[in-house]
Amino acid sequence: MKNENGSSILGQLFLGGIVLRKQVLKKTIIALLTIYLIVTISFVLIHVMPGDPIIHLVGQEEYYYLLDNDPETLNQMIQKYGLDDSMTVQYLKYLKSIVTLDFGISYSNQRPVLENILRAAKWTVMLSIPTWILSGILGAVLGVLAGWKPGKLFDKIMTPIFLVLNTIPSNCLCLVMLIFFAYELKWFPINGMVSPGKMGFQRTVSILHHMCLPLIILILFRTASNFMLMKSAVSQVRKEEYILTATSKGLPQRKVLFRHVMRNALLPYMTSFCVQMGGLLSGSMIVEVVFGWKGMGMLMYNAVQNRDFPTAQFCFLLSAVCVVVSNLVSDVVNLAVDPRLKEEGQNE
Amino acid sequence: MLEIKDISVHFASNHFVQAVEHIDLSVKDTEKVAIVGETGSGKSILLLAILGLLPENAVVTGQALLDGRDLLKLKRKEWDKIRGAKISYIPQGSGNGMNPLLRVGFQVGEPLMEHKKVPKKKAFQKSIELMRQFHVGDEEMVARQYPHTYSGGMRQRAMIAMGIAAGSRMILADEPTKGLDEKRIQMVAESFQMLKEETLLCVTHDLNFAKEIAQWICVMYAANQVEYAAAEEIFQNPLHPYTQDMLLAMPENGLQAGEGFALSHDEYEKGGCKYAPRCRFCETRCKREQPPMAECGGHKVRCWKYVD
Amino acid sequence: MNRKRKKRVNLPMIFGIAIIGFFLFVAIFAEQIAPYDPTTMMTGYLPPSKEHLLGTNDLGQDIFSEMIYGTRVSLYIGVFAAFIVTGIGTILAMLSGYFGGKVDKVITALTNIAMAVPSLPLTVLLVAYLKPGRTSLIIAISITAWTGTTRILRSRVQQLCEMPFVKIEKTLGVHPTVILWKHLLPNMKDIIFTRGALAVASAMMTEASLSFLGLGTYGEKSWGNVLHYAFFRNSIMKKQVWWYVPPIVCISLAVLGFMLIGYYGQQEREG
Repeated sequence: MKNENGSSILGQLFLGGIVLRKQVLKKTIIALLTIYLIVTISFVLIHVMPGDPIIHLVGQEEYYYLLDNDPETLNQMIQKYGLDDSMTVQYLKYLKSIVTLDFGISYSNQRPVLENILRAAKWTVMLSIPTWILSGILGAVLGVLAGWKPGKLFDKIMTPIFLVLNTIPSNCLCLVMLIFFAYELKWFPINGMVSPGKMGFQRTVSILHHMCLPLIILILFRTASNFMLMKSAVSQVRKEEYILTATSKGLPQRKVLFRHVMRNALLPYMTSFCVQMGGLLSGSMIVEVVFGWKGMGMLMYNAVQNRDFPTAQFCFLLSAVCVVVSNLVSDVVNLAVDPRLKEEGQNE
Repeated sequence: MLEIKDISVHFASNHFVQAVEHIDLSVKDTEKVAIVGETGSGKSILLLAILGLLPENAVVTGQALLDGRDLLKLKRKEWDKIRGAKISYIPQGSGNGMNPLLRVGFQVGEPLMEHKKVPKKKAFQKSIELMRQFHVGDEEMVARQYPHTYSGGMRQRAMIAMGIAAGSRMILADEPTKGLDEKRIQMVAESFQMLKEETLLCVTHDLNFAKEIAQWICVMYAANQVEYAAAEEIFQNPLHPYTQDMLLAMPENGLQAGEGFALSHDEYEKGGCKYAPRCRFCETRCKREQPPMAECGGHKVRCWKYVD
Repeated sequence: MNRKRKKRVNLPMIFGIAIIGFFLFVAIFAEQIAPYDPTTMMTGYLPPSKEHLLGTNDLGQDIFSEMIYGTRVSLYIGVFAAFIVTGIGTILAMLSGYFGGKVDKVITALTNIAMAVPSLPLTVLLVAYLKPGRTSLIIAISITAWTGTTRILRSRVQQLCEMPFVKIEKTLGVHPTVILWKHLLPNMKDIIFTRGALAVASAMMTEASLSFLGLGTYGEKSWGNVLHYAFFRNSIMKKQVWWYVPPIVCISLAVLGFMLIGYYGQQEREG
């Protein structure tokens, strides 16, 4: 009766570490490749679209305005963007502009595109980070409560509520909330981010007041899907054999829940939580438009409306990078947390 | 001493099919008893019923007395003090019986932490010792591993260690040989044979394994106990037709397998002997009436052949 | 056991079918139901009356007629986009699940990349680049939406390929198109149907969002467009309930209908 595992366990542990590092490296390379592909597709998109690319680059209105009044500038623009160069040169220049984050000047307010975007991103992040964290916690807690005792009163009340929230289109819920809480009850301001003429502390309070309604809507939506996810994860783990084992050891329910059920249910939840980070910049467009919140979504919306393509394109690229990075983070977190991914079972 | 008195189980979702019907069984201290039967004969459900681990929709009637105390009447809080300390459960090693995210050593030591209030580190040390004793592995590294790196046999032996970790004397094991090859079954059997002081009630479908570990064998068929006798008696002198057929179907006896078993709904309702549809000695009486438990030459057997 | 289990009535499913049936009816007989041509301009901002059940909008168009014709546009785009999404998803899933190897790797990589693209921004960008209209809207909606369907169906195909009847056909050297078409597809029709219904729901949601942002179809109004004008012409401030409530109700109901069919159709199969 010899130990079947043999002497390889020490070796396995070392291997495990190397495998982990290797996998992280592999995932990182894939992520970079994905970003590169998205960037390239976005370049192809401009150049295969019908019409002169310069229209897409400077924007339609600007283009016609320049064509009529200032053809000289337009020619300069064409040269500046290198539209008379060969495709390859154009492509390389395009890549360079992305690496150096130099997207030129926005025609809407004559400021660098990057500056506009960073300012907008700041406002969006003010909404999306609290949403991300709060709904992450809220969804987890409520989901665990409903999944741990399915069919009980709490589950019977919460599940339909969140199911309905999951099916309502976001613009509809936005309007309903706006009408009810802002127009009828007048609890919150209707539009904008801050009341004019407020300074210092009062300004902060005003911003917070303006933030309330959009934040509540975003949190409701995120919590709804988080709740469903956590509930199904918990009710699935509950049926696993090792939960029976844990109970058979005489562990009180509290310990079974926290030590055995939660640990396993949180694994898929963490993955999804990390993936949600990708929506931090791009996930609130509708809400921003409805509430006049001048964030990334609003910026992109306005850019598209005004045919300000460089801004729109950069907004899109930034959102895409955000999504790719968050996917990478979720993969790495998974690798770090789940021992099953570190070393595949090498016995038998 | 564990006395099972007239335990029946059915599920609220399905009133027609009894999962376990009127089982009587008593296991004296340090005795080893095996319950054998086909898949679906209700043996595992009986085990879980004794431990109070069946889902909420299960209806359990009867008594299960552990040293005179009826387990079926216990409240959840009282259960938590008894399970793992006085009576413990050993799940299938080939299954998903261990938490994949916790180190095996921790899980083996968990009952110790819970019942003896041993601190985490000490419990871990103790579990290394136990695992060494059951030949799971000699090094500390083995205990530090996660369940997925273990083979089915190793996991099963680790689980036996887990079952006795907190000094429980009453061990209930569920299909410990499922999914294991001959060599590993042998090793698991040796581990069970090391349990000298403990009382063992083991559910299995593997007759050879039952012979290795048990002094008494209880044969179950379609939710009913059909025969109960000492292990050698069952093998040398089986009385119930089912037991005889089962022995004939063993590889060393030439694999003379009968037809597959699937009781239709109507057969359940008729109330005759459950084995009648497959039985070679089936008479009209067998189809109409369920035979009582009869005593015959040291056997308890549920068959009309032995009633008179 | 079968005796007791009578065929249970699946209430949510029937409810969903009723909703969708109603909207389909309205869409088909739009000309007969609508009292006015939705493009005719009359007096603007009229409250509901006998002549105009839901009043008129800023241009004096009858909102009730707009809603009825909008049913047509919304359903058309939703169903058509879902058709494309499910079609692409099914084909890719069958190819990658059945052939495995390199084909599978390429398709999986493609799926992963498409999943990494933030869908609403890309859709907005595409709608802006393309000429406005139904077709571009459908393309823009479909371009990233097929990933989920592909993933789910792929694992189903892989499951089926492990089944004896497929394995036997494979060893017999039956042509892959025959196996895929005659054996795999019929075995997946339930799950394809479910995914299809859910795809309609999500396509309609995307359409509603885009149209609400004013990036939808031009010339013909969908429900989302009606809501767009209602919102940006300040109907909420003016308390013109008859203008902004109908599109909200219609969009939500239609999405709910398809979701019910999708979710509960699935549950019915599982028992």
